[in-house]
Amino acid sequence: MGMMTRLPHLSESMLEQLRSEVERNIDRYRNNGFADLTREPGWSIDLDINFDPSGLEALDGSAKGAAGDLKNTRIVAKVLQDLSPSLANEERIWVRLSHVEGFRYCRDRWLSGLHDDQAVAKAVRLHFFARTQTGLRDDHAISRLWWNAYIAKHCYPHDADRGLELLLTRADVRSSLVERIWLTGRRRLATAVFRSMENDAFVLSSERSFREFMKAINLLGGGIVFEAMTDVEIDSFLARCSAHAEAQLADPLPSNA
Amino acid sequence: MKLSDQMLFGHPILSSGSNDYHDSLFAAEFDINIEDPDWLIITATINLQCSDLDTLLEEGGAGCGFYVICRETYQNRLIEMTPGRASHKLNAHHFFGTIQLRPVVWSTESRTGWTSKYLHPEYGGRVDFPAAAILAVGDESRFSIDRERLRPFESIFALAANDGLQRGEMAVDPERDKITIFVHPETKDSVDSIRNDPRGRTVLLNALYLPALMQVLSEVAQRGNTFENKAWYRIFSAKCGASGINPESGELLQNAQRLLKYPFARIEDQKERLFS
Repeated sequence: MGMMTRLPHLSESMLEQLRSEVERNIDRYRNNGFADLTREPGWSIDLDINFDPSGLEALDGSAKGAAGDLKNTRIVAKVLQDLSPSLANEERIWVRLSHVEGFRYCRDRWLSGLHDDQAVAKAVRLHFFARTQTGLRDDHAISRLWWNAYIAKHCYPHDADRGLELLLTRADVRSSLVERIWLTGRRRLATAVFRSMENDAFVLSSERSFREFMKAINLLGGGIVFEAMTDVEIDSFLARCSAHAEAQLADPLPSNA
Repeated sequence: MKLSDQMLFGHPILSSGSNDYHDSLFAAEFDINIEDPDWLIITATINLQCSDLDTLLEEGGAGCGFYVICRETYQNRLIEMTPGRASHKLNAHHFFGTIQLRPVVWSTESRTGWTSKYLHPEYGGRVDFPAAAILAVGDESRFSIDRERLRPFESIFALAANDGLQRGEMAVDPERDKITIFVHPETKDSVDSIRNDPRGRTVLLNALYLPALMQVLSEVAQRGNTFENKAWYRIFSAKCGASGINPESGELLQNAQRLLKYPFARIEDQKERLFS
C-alpha cells in the first residue's frame, strides 16, 4: 500500500482548458499522459478525503468485458471508498484521475488499437471527461466503475461484492438496472430484485427474460408503495412478475404490455 | 410504476389531478435548508383535508409521508410523518443536483367496502383497495441543491494588497462580504504565486488563514452576531455548526484549528514533498 494523500481535483478553468485542447494533446493521450503537470496551477486542488493514489496503478487496462470490469471495479471501490455519491457527481475529480493517477489504465483500456487521431480524440472525449450523469455513470473510464460499486452496494448492502457480480452479469442487466433509477433508488425493492436475480433461475436466463421481468415490474407495480410492504410481500410480488414475464415469453402472440 | 400525475388506478385517488374526491385536498409545502454542508434539512408541511382519510390514518389503516428522490445519487426514499409540520435531517453527502419531493398517503392494509362521503358519486360511496396502495398523492416540488460543496473554507476569505503594510505583515478586515486579508503588494504577489500549488496551500493554511481565522473568531466573540449581514458569515456559521463549535466561546486557537481541520497535520502529511 502506498502513501495516503488528499484526493485532488482540477479547477473549473483547467477542466475547460483540457476539454478544449483534446486535439492539441493527442500525443500526451497516446503516450505518457499529464503527470508532469500536476504542480501547475489548477491541477491539484485538495479535497478533504484521503486516498492512496498508487492504488489506481493496479487497474488492468488489458482486462476488458464484464470480467475486466468486475476486477477493476473492485480496485476503484477500495481506493475511492470514502468518496460520497454527492462528490462522485463532480467531473473535476474524475477528469483529474483519468489524466494522472489512473491515466495508464484509461489509455490502455480505451485508446489502445485506435490509429487515427480523430478516433483517439473521440474516445478521449467519451472516456476521459464526463459532462453529464450518463457520462459519469456509463462512459468515463474510472467513474463508471465507481458507480458500479456504489449501485451494487446500495441495492445489495449485505453482500455488496455479490451484488456487483449480479449487476455485471451481462451488459443488458447493468444498463437496465442503472437506467431505472426509480427502481434501483428504492432500496427495499432493488434488494428484492437482486434476490430474484440470485434465486429465480428464470430472471437472468436470457436477455429477453430479464427485459420481460423488468417490464412486468413496471406494469404490475404501478402505485404500489413498496416501502410499506414486508420483504416477504415484495418477494411474492416479484414472483408474480416473474410468472407474468415467463407467460409473455411462452405466448406465441405476445401482447405489447 | 414511476409516480406521476398520469397514473391510473382501480381505486379512487385524492389528488389535484383527479375528481375522485370532492371538497377535499391533499397538498404539501417544503422548505429546504442546506446551510450546514453536512446536513440537508427538509421541513415539510402536509395538509390533508378529508376527514374520512384522516380517520383511516388515525386508525392505522393508512400511512402518510413524502418521497425524497434524487436521480443523481440513486436516492428514492419514503419519509413517514403525520399531516402537519415536521423537519427531517438527511445526510447531505447523499444528494446532488435536483431533489424531487412528493407527498403521499397509502393504505397499510386492504379494505373491502371502505366508505367516504367525499367520494365521487360514481363510486357509490364505497370502494375496495389493496394494502400498500396509494390513496392520495400531492403535486411534486423540486429543489436544486447548491453545487458549491467543493468550496474550501478559504473561499470566505479574499486577499488584497495594502502598501501601508510592510513586507510580511498582514491585517484582517471582517467588514466586507468576504473576510479580507491585507498584505503588502509584494507579499500578495508571492501568495498568489504559491496558492495554486497544493504544497503552497498547506503553507498558507498555517501561516495566513489560521491566524486570520483566530482574529475573526476574536471579533465574533466580542461583537456577537453583528456580522450576520455579511456574506461570509453564513458559510462561517454553517461550518461552525457542522463542527459543533460555538463561534462566540472565545477559544480562538482551539476553534480555528478545528475549523481548518488541524492544518499542521497537512504539513506532517506532506513533509517529504515540502522539504525535499
